[in-house]
Amino acid sequence: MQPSVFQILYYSQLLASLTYFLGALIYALPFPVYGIKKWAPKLILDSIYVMVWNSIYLGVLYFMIQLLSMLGVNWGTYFAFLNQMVTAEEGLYLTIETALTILKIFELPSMVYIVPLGQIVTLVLSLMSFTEILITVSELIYSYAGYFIALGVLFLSIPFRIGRSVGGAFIGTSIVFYVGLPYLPQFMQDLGISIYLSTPTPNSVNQYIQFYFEKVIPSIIMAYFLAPTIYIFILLGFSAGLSSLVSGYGSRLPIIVDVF
Amino acid sequence: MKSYEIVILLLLFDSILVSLYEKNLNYLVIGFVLSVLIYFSIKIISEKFAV
Repeated sequence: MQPSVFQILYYSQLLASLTYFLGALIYALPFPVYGIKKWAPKLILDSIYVMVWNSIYLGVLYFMIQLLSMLGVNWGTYFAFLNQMVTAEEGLYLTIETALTILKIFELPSMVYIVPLGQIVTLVLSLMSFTEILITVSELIYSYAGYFIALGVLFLSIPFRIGRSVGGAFIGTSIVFYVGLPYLPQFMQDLGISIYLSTPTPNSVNQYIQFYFEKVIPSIIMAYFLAPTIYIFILLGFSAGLSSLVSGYGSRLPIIVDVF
Repeated sequence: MKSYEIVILLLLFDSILVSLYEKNLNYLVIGFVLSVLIYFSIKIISEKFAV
């Protein structure tokens, strides 16, 4: 059975207690070996750090939700936007398949060589796969962000800083992606990128083909692949920064603690 | 504040939180027992063995 979020937090609390005990025992060792002794205050402060994370867990979730509402975005709108992307891609796919079928029916094989419709179909199918992956990842983040943060705290609580970087990565990535992903439609809108394709007004087949290659293909690559990828890379940069803040050597307690 | 005082306070707070959300008093009892253990063991260690 999958443990609940609070059970995970409870296990991390037990591990933090173990870390504290280990720190205290190392502190009390009768032989002053620096290599071992230096771990004592680190372990003690690490255990307190994890317990603080345990205590502020609900506060962090509340903060994430508040940040989302401050940005003026929500997950419902974001999922609707992703569904619109898939619908537009499916429409494009259907159009190209129809064109391909018409060319075959009217036995115009030379057109198939002039217009590489097969390659365009491959491109559209790849973009559809990319959008589907984005939807899956978004659903994962939306459903399990709180769980991932709790898992991150659990990793942080492993003694001797074994899981510290992994824990920090879990926490940082969950927070940044939970708050940042729904902002993607707004980001694309600010850059002037639309997922809706403009309707061509061709006078001839040649103009139609030219329009298709000069306008449609670049704009679908930009709107359906490049813009989301750039945005995800920006989010990855933010999450790397937050991860190092949570797990790195910058993670200090804001209060002075006497070890004993 | 001494480190064990902070640890005990946070341990009790977290135990209350978990037992409230899980609706199970066992978590609170274990947290309380652990706090008492930490208090006495750290007292002994700090008074007799710490260098």
